[in-house]
Amino acid sequence: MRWFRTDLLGKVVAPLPRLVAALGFLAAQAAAQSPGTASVLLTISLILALLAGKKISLGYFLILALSIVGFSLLSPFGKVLVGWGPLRITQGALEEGALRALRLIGMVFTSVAAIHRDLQLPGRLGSFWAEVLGYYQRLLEARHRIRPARWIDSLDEIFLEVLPADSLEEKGVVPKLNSEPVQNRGWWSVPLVWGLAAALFFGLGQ
Amino acid sequence: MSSPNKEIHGVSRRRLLAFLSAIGLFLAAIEYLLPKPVPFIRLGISNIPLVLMLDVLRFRELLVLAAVKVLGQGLINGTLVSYVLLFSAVGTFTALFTMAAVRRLFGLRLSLIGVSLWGALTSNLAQLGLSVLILLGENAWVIGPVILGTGGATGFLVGWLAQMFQSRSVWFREVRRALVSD
Amino acid sequence: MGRGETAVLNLPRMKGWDLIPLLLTLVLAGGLAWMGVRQLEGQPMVEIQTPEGQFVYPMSTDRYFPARGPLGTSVITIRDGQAWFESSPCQNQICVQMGHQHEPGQWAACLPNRIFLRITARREEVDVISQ
Repeated sequence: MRWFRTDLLGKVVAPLPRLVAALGFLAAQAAAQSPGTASVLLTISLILALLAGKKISLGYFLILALSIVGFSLLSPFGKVLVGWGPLRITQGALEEGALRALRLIGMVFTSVAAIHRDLQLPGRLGSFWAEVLGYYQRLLEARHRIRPARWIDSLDEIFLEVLPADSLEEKGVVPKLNSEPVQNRGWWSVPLVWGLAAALFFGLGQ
Repeated sequence: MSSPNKEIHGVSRRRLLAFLSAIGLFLAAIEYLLPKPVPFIRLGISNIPLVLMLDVLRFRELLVLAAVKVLGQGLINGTLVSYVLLFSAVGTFTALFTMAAVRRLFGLRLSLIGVSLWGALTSNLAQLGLSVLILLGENAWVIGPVILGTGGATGFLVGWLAQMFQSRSVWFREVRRALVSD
Repeated sequence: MGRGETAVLNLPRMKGWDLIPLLLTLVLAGGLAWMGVRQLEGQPMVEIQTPEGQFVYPMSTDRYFPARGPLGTSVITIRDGQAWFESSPCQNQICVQMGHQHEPGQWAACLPNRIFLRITARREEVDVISQ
């Protein structure tokens, strides 16, 4: 059942337009003023993140949301909904906490949906990043060889193989990556997503 | 002792930085996979390359290392345009500036563990302050003791691991020797 | 060139000055704990009881609160750490004349409109005022 881990978004939109499109959506989420609007936007961004094949740990985000709301409830204000002695759940604090949680977590989902690992960085930074990713992949491949009981020795073995000290003296081959060369596909998504975000934001009453 | 061919050594330090950045990302990946009982407490083992290389690399290079770690994590986890990046950046750079500063102030009177403890302290304070500002509000100060306590423990761990690796790693010894002759 | 020893861990080698960040961490942790506890309990609050329900607000934030009762809306003002009835649709206007309240325990009420206001410290028990 690997289908749900494929990046469906990546098949139609290249990394850069994908990011630019997301920025519009992020703006709407950051500016949302009601929990209702924020939760609609969050739901959409969650779906998009799943369509991007990303793994979302819902349990983690639930705990995060409850923590944000919980801390907000510690400063009660507004109509008292439930009260046991000194502990009071108030409407104002609840809504404020809910809004903050929905906004922030929604933005994380949007970011996760938008960012593709092969996003090309400009100029020298880009080639440096490619080099870093190359080494990163080699380390990931070698991770099974790390022995906790002899961690320094096993790490030394791997490191000396990937980057021996005397190779610092010579020019070498930069490890190559397989990446999508097409960077311009999908710019149509930018006005689409920005328009959708604006429609939702103003249509739902912010 | 300057090298006869600056260009070659320019490449070599760059490759070392790229490799160290990759190690930082690799450790961050491990950190990401570990269960997180509390959402805001981070282990900080991805800072080990910074601590390890604190006395070996130039400050400019350490900045690059920190920046690539923060941005790279954002790219790989997809959190590049979210509040997570802000926390990561604030935490990492606060730690780096503090560690470099105390190293300059106290020199070798501090062990690597002490340096790491300083970094952990200021980094956690900064992240706690950020939590108050954008995540949890005024009441977040309540969890301050927990954050500082666990942060101190992981700071100790990071410093200790870096110290052990520094003294026993053959790879580290060779790299240091190659850099010194640069 | 020797290989590493077979031991997994070495004893940590610390120096005297390492104690400074350690102690600083403890002191700050304690300070934050104290700050947090004060944050949670200290703030005085305004409790407003109306036929629509109970409302609470911190004294530190200025606001106007329209309290709706059977006669109409009584406006309660919270400003500069004090709370009072600004206006009320009742005949006798006793609530308005009761003036500004600012200490925990002080109260004012518009009985005809069934609006009751009270200053409390945060940690006090909530007494449900029977109408």
